[in-house]
Amino acid sequence: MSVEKNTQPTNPESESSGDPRTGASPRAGDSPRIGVDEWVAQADERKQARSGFWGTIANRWETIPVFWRIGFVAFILILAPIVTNTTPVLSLLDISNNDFMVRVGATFLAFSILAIGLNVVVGYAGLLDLGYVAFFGLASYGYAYLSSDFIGAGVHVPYFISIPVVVAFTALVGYLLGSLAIRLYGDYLAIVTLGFGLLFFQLAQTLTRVRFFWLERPVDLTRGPNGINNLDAIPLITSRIEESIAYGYIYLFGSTFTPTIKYYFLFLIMLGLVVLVVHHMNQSRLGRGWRAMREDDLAAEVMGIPVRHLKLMAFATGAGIAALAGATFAAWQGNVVPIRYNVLALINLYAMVVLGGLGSLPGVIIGAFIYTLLPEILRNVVYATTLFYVGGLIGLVAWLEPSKRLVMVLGGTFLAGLLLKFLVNLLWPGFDTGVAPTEGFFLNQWAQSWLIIPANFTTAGNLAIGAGIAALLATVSIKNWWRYVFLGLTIYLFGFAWETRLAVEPSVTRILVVGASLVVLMITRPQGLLGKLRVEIL
Amino acid sequence: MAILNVDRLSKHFGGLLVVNDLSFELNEGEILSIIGPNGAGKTTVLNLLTGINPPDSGDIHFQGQSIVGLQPHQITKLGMARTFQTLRLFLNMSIIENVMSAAYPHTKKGLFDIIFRTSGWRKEEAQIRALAQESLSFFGERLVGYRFDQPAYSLSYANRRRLEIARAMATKPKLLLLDEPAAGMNPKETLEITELIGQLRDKGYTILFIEHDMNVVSGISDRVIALDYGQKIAEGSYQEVVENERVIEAYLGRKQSVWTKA
Ligand SMILES: Nc1ncnc2c1ncn2[C@@H]1O[C@H](COP(=O)(O)OP(=O)(O)O)[C@@H](O)[C@H]1O
Ligand SMILES: [Mg+2]
Repeated sequence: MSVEKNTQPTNPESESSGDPRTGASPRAGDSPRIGVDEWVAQADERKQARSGFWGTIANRWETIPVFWRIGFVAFILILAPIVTNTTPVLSLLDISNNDFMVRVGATFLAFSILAIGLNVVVGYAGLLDLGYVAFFGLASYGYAYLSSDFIGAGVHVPYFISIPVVVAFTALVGYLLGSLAIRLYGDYLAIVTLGFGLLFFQLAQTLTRVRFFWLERPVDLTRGPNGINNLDAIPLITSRIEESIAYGYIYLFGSTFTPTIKYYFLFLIMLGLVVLVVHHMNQSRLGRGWRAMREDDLAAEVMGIPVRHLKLMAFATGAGIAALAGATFAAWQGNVVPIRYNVLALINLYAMVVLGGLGSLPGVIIGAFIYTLLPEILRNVVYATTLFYVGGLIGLVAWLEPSKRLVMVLGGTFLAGLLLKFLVNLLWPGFDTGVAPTEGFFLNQWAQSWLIIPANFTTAGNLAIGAGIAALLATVSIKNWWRYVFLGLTIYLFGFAWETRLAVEPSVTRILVVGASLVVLMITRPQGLLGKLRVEIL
Repeated sequence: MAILNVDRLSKHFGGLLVVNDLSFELNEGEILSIIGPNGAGKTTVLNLLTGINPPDSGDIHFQGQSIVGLQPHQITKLGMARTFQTLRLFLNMSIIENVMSAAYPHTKKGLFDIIFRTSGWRKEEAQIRALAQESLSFFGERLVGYRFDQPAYSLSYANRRRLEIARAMATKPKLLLLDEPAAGMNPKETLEITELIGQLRDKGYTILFIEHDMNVVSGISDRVIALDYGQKIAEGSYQEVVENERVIEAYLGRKQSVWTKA
């Protein structure tokens, strides 16, 4: 009996030259071609062929050895609080609270640590854990119990015992939650862990009158929504040494060594250690096991990887890292309040990890940086305006590259605006007489020099937001040169909306900007800023 | 000496009896081929052997030890590795990491060594890498060099099949279970794969080779078992099995299944 071999499908390898799925688009060089050996062979050439503004920057950055890259970032992070806390810088930035910048920095570092822990669970092990923020909270409460006046006459375990205890305990809770959830996949795991997170939040708010049968009176376990106050601070080794460091700091840098600066450096050291540990874990049999089970847990198990054990390890590691940040954060703030550990905090953390790029440590840190900094910047009209115009410009440069087109669009919009303003003033005097609510910052003044501001601008400003979005949609969907006309229109409308409405409504703008940044990113770069594009179905 | 003893194995899914009272032996250093039309239950036999599905009844002894009830990773650790007919690579990992990850069962370094990168860890890591490179170089130039660090999804179909075998080899198995390793390959590649399987045997692996197309196993099988509806219908040399009445009937009776790919 014979079977004709040629009835079998032809081999994809032999006809790999033209893949219709990815061949056409002009930037196809970056998108992976699936199942095409030649695409693989050209990896280095593709890298070298990266061109344009961003390609050049990326290439330059990659020629620096890793050691120096890390050193460079560390140098900036070490210098940042010292420099920003000096009087000239503060007055230049018009900040009266002299710890403000350092506080934002310390928050960024704490959230970087949290985001890295989340990245272990979600990015490496592929477990959609929506209860993560509860570990953050659990550790904070743990620290509060061990280092405050809350229990009895006050329990004050020194930090070098209480923090390791809290971290180990929280990791254990992570392990136990993991063993409850281990049989669950995807959506089910997400729902169960979300339930855990919400449960924690609810319990923290309501466990104020708990009856134990051996006690007569009910016990307050959490102090409800107000939380627990007056937690012990973390001294630098001993308070004696801390004093001399503070003295030396003033001597060297001429500014006070505030507690915020201390916690900034504490978080910085912790972040460095966490990055190192997680990196080592990831680049080992453990990390390969995690990523293998993320890709295909049945195949991983069959290749001899104890999937169950590794899942529990991932939960415990994530929880332990969250606990490290949680306990220190509580010590820094001096209090724990349930609201800090609600769903919004969880969404914020996920936004950081997703925006930065799941599975990439530098990406996750950049994500934490952006989402800590953005809301702070948007509080202040001057900064928000700067961010708006500079960010818009960067976005335009990223899209059009520094080119003639870019100059034409920007110059054209500017000139058209001036011309329009001139004509309106000529034909309809009294129309362009509104005074925009934005203050006398030079970017605002400049923008208002070529925008028409009618006397009653509120409605017009609101309409301009909608019209601007419509113009933006037209810009991205039209393919011929008309798109540049619409782009100019978009710039004009958003400039108008900003000057009249957005700049003075920071709370709305914040949500708008954060949401818009995520939407734009997920459309243009679904893998996040530094993440790798994942291929799921073949 | 028998490395694998399968004793009266049965398995049903719902009302369908997929493996029916199947017994066979596999001797050390031989290539045993299991052939049978599509749906005969060949893949299910592998799933029972590797612990993915528990058998309803019967026993499996690997190197004298019963492995029924063990978890798949435990069975793999004992020295049994497989490939998947439906290709289950870790697509978003690099080619070399696909193979390195399969070194897990015979490596030991724990958290302490990993975090502090002790000299023991370095040594083990170097061994894992060397093992992976060796497994990959088994397929000539196809999976080596610049390809080590490319994602697995970028490989062509035939190379993915090769990578599956390389990954299974990295678990350091004594027994390799290959589920239709030539499926979807062209005649030239099929020939090459079967030759490589012969070389694997010469390197000391015992091989269970599953294939629905009986021509593929002709040159290299020491023994052949034919399955139909989960039942062993013939066993013996390739020639004996191919000429067996019931085998011809099983294939001709469902002719289309011979002609189409699994
Ligand atoms: N997990 C399962 N659940 C239900 N039916 C299954 C399952 N696995 C296999 N089968 C059925 O068992 C039969 C044998 O399948 P399989 O072992 O894959 O055959 P082969 O590999 O010989 O082509 C098929 O009819 C298939 O539909
Ligand atoms: Mg099959």
